This record gives sequence, C-alpha cells and structure tokens, in this order.
Amino acid sequence: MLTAIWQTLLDDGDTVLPIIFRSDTTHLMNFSGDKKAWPVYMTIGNLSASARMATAMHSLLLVMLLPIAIKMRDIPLSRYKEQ
Amino acid sequence: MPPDCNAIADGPLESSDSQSPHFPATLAYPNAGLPCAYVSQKGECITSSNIPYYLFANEEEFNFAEVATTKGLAGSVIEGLLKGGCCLKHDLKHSLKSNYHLQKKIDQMEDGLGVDSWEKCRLENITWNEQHTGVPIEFWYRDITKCAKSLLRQLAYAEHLLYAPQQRFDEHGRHVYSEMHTADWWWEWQLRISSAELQRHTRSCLRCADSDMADLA
Repeated sequence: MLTAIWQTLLDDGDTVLPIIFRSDTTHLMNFSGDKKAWPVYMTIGNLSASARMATAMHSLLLVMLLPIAIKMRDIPLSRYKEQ
Repeated sequence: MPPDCNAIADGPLESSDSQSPHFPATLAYPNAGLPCAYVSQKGECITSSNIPYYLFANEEEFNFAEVATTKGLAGSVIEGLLKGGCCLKHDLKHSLKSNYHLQKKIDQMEDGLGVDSWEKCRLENITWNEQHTGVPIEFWYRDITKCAKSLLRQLAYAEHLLYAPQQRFDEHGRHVYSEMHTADWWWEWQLRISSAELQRHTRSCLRCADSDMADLA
C-alpha cells in the first residue's frame, strides 16, 4: 500500500474504496484424491459491517480460484529423510 | 480536535447503525463521496422510462426469468415449459426459445460479472519443489475494479453504503471506533491523497466543525 503511486488525487466528492479480501482452502470433492482449491473472495469496506457480514446480502464476490500447491510429501519418503 | 481525541474507548461498541444516536459528537469528513445516479456499464443510459425490463421484452418475460432462476428450476424443467404445451403465452415461448437462450440473456444482464468477466492466467515454469520444476499453473481471476463497481451498483446495498469517513466521540470526548469508516486510517488516507486545494478546504471545514463541537461540550 505504501508503495502505491497515486496518479490522480482525490477531487471534491471522491472517496476511498477499501477492498477486503478473504481466502481459505476449500474442499471440493473426495473423488480422484481429495480435490481442493483456494478461492479468494472480495468485498468493499463501504458497505456497513452488518450488511457486509449478512450471508443473504451476497456481498462477497469470488475473484480468484487458485490451485493448491504441490506438497512436499510428493518427494519419496526415502529422499525426504536424506535431506 | 476535541480534547482526548486519541483516547480509545474501553470496548468495541456493538452499534453498527450509521445514525449513531448515542454518539453526541460525530464528525463526518466533508465532501467525501456521495451516491450518484445509476449509470450503465455499457455507456448507454437505461432509465426506467424507456425499457424497465431491459434484455427482456416485457414484464411477463422478466417474471418468468426471475422465477426460473431464483426458484432453482432445473434446466430440463425450464426447457419443458418453454417448448412444451404449457399454459405460457405464445409470445413468451416465441421470444425465449429455450433454456439455452434464457441463460444467454441472464448472462448478459447488466451486472457486468457474467461468465465473460473471468480471465484465465497461465504462469510457466513454477518451481514447487525439487521434483516439480517448470510446472505451468493455470488459474482464473476477475478484475477487482469491475467487481467493486458491480458491488457499488447494487440497489440492494444503497441504504448500507458509506462514503465519508467519520470520527465519533462519546460524551466524555473520547474517540470511539466501531465501523470501518470510523477508523483512523480511512480518514488519514482520505486526507493524504486529496488534492492540495481540497485539503485546504477540508481543514477549514474541520476547524469550523471543531469549534461547533467545542460549543456543544
């Protein structure tokens, strides 16, 4: 945030738009080996907290769907022990 | 600034209403954003006077689409209704030819976040670990400014949207924090990235407000 370059300054009537991101790993299915994904959701801080938190308001939008990183355990155990 | 404006209240307040009846002094940032009229993303202004059921020809069609999507009707049921000999009017069956056409129209609806908003990104040569080097990864993402615009455009949020940061003080003159727009950082950023002329104007407004609040106390 501190490294951001403000190309245009706020003018009369402009406001700050805080963007809130939420993310956690999500289990998709059990078949073909526990598929998981890492969705990233966003919402805006201009919504009052009570409206933002209410599930019925649908204020969270999915903005990114990340794959899960391949884990270290993919290395065979014998080689893993050598390290 | 009122005295003790940096003192933090003992506990977080449960209040989330913007009216704040039990804050004797609420200082709103002057000339921060205001809600403006509905502007279509495609640049063409769709007002309620010309086509109220835009994308759908009439009320009947719109209502059918609304029921079909919000009540969770299965695709085959919609298909059957539109193609079969149900008691739907002929022009409705004529304009909405099939479930596919209906879904196409719904995707085009004016929130700008249909299937088209997703973009695919592919990063080459990602190294996970020793075994997996040079693995390409693919992921899907959306433009966050489009998402933010879409959220701001929702009529359902109109009464819940806040544009101006506030400073709230209780009866002892202590600064109280509850909602996001009462936090210091929003206020500071609003001031920091304002143009110089606006900053001067804002400071003069705030001085007036401060003297008013001093009178109140």
